[in-house]
Amino acid sequence: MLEDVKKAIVELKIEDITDLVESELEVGSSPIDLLNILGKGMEEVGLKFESGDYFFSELIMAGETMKEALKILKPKLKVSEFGGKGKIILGTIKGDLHDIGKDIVSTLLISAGFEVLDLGIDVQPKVFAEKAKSTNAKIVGVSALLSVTVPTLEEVDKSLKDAGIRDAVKLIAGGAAVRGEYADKLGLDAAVNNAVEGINIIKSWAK
Amino acid sequence: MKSRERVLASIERRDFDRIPADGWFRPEFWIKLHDHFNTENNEDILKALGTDIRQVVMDPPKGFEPEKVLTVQNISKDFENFYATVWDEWNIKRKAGSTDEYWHFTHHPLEHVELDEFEFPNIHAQGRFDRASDLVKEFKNEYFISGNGSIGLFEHGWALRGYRNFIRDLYTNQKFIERLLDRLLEWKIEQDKYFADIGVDMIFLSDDLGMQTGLMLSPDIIRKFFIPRYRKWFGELKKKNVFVMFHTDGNVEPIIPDLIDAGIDILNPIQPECMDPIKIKKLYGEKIAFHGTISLQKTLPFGSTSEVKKEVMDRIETLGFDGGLILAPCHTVDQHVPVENVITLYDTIRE
Repeated sequence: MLEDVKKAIVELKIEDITDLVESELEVGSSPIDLLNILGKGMEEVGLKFESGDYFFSELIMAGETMKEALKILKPKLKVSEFGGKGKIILGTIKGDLHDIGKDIVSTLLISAGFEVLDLGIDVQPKVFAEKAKSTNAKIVGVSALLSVTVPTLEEVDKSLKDAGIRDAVKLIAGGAAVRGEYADKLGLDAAVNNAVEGINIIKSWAK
Repeated sequence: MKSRERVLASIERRDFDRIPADGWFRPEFWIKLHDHFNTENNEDILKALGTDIRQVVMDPPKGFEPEKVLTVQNISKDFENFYATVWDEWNIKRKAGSTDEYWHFTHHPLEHVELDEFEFPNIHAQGRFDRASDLVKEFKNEYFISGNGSIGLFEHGWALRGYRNFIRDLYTNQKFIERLLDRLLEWKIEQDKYFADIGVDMIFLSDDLGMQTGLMLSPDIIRKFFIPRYRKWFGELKKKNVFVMFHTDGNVEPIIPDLIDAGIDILNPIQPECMDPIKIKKLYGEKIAFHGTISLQKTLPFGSTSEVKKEVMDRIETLGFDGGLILAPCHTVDQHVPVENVITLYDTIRE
């Protein structure tokens, strides 16, 4: 049952997820239905994280469980089905080498139907703009854990302007060093230090 | 009052002349301090700042030379051990980022080798504590000595296994986790016994369990796998009459009572952006002392000298009035922090 797949995500049953997804496909469920139900599971995990029932380690486990399911589903999904909500550029800002928060956000975005183009860590500000321009992505997400890298976020805004695409792109920053009040100062459309809050903002932009 | 007596008096809530001070600086910041004080003698600089603690570290054993990448030249052996080693005796590898300031992990040995086949370095090998022992002899009369025992069970566990693998193991491969943590615990107890035997006053260990807004691991996981082992570890150290200072960044409020119960004496750093220092003092100030508390996410890098001064005065008034406080920046100061702010921090403490 599709509900069992969702339950496996919510209850972090990483050892069961492959069998559950494969048996659902065997009984005729479509890959896109499975992707949607996995996304609903991840949404529930996000709510549990926000309410304090789940911790970061459980977000990671849910993400790892999701990845196991995607290994089976991704080759079976049509291009239009996978990442249908749009492209998003993601990366950790220059000087910062943290990747775990960014990866969680990536998995949550994929579950929510986005196509994620992950530039990795220690990314030069202008690379975000170049990639957004070449792929026509409308959303750029930048991760920053170190306070001293926060001023560099402003350079991403500047690079997008230099590339002539600032008005066409929404720019969001997230991570431990980021505060909501920084957004205006740094030329960001949103600034958060909570992954789930960030996903909700991005979803509202993609509507 | 000698520095050592000052720190002991603060921890033990006896009369003291001023709040003790401590601090850690990255090599790039040391260069800024060299310029400011017009000397390359780090000890002279620490004296001028008025820090009351001297830190000693364990070296690799004689005959083992870790692979290093020196991004800052002519730094001391301690800084090489901490900041320049990219391939250590555990076969953990790291790589510096584009700004040469911080590194990330690139190789975790237990991703490639079974735990039973993985040999830990020999803690009893010759030469590990020779330099530390000499430094203790040199400084003990005057200063409180911290044996920097480096990383704790969680941090070392994930560095060996890989972060995501380690988290997965915590949920799905608990027997492996128990065996790994038990072996690490045994090794670390032996390491810290050596520190105690050469005469350090305190073991300082770092096990980051917190992030900005809350715990990285669920409290259940921490209580199941880590707290009982901490209790055993710190119990062994208590037998050796050394204080235990536990470092974890971030907001760890839910497990502070567990850490106290496990036997910590001092908690570092109480990041003011993550936990309210006044609340923590009120709840736990009778049981443990605090080290740190000066904002390194806001005030020191981005504030003015008057804002730094105000924060130091506030901490002394609200946390240090009855002792139990050692003031220091909340983490290792890096080159982005203005030197004037750091000087103001220590000047204000001394005033």
